[in-house]
Amino acid sequence: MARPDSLGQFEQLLLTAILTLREDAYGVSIHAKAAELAKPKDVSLGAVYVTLDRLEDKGLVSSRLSDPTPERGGRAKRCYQLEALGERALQESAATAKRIWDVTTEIWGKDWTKEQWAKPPRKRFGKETA
Amino acid sequence: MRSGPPKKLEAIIGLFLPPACREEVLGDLYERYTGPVQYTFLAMRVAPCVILSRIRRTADARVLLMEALLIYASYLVAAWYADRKALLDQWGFFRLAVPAVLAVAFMMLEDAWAPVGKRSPLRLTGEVAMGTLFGFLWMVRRLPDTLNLVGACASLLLVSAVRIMFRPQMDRPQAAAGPATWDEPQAAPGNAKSIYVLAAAIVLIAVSLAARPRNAPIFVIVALLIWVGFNNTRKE
Repeated sequence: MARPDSLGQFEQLLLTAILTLREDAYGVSIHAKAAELAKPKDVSLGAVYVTLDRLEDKGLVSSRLSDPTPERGGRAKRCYQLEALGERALQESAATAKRIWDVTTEIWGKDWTKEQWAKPPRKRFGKETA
Repeated sequence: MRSGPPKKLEAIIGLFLPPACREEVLGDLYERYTGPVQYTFLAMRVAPCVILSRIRRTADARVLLMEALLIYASYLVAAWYADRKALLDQWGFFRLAVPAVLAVAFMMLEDAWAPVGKRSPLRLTGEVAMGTLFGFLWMVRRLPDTLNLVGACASLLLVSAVRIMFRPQMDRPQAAAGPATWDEPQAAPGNAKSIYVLAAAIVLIAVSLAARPRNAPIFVIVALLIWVGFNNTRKE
């Protein structure tokens, strides 16, 4: 199997979101899950689309159009699923992140994250929040 | 059932989205709808990202560069034979590059908005015609008419030949270091014949430019019709 390229942080977020959502992974749900994972940072829907296309081009995910639903005005949704290469890439990224976490908590202690996330998320006009 | 955006507003937003991804993006925007102002602002933020992503997937940089160079060369040769003052003017060489930039940018957008699936040679030629027409119209008052017309016609023939030989493949996953479409040979015997016809067309244009530059567009159009007819009749 080809070795996957290293993933950017946002790509890792989206792959994790797709992994979590399973069959229900499509644009809106992936954006909501990615926003939840990325807190306190904001996530834009446009960036999600761009990154999903890039992941598909890399062969890490695949997509298909589902049946139209009335909740979407009779329009289909594009559902995404992880490919084997994507799973492997995400596993490698998760392993690297865990090693980084272990080292930083050893040096800084486990409470350093509370200081980072104590500030409320910044809201802008018209910005979507999950 | 929850309410959605007004149909007219949705249709307007849909015009700004490439057809290949319009369905799912409009559906997602429908799900996120809370009001017309929110819907419009969200669409305005999403559409540029979707368009740029689509352009990235459909544009082949090497083929586009080839096309830009061909258009530029066409205008340079047209200026050499029809009106050399356009070359000697200040910024003459840069001014002749403008149609190439505009035509290639237009064709990039056409590729992004093209329907998914294979396109016929006639359709590809039509797309090139729109791109070169855009460049031609922009330069109407900025270049001598004969130069502009001859350059546009020659560009149309040469770039349509490139487009037909190196056809854009829609929705082909491209790895980061993936090859351009022309690295993958397709129907080799047919390509050889196409090259001969193309070479004959180029010779026809060169002879017409050397003999009677003012009648060159007629020869170019004839050569183009022969080229398109040849590609439409030969089997894939």
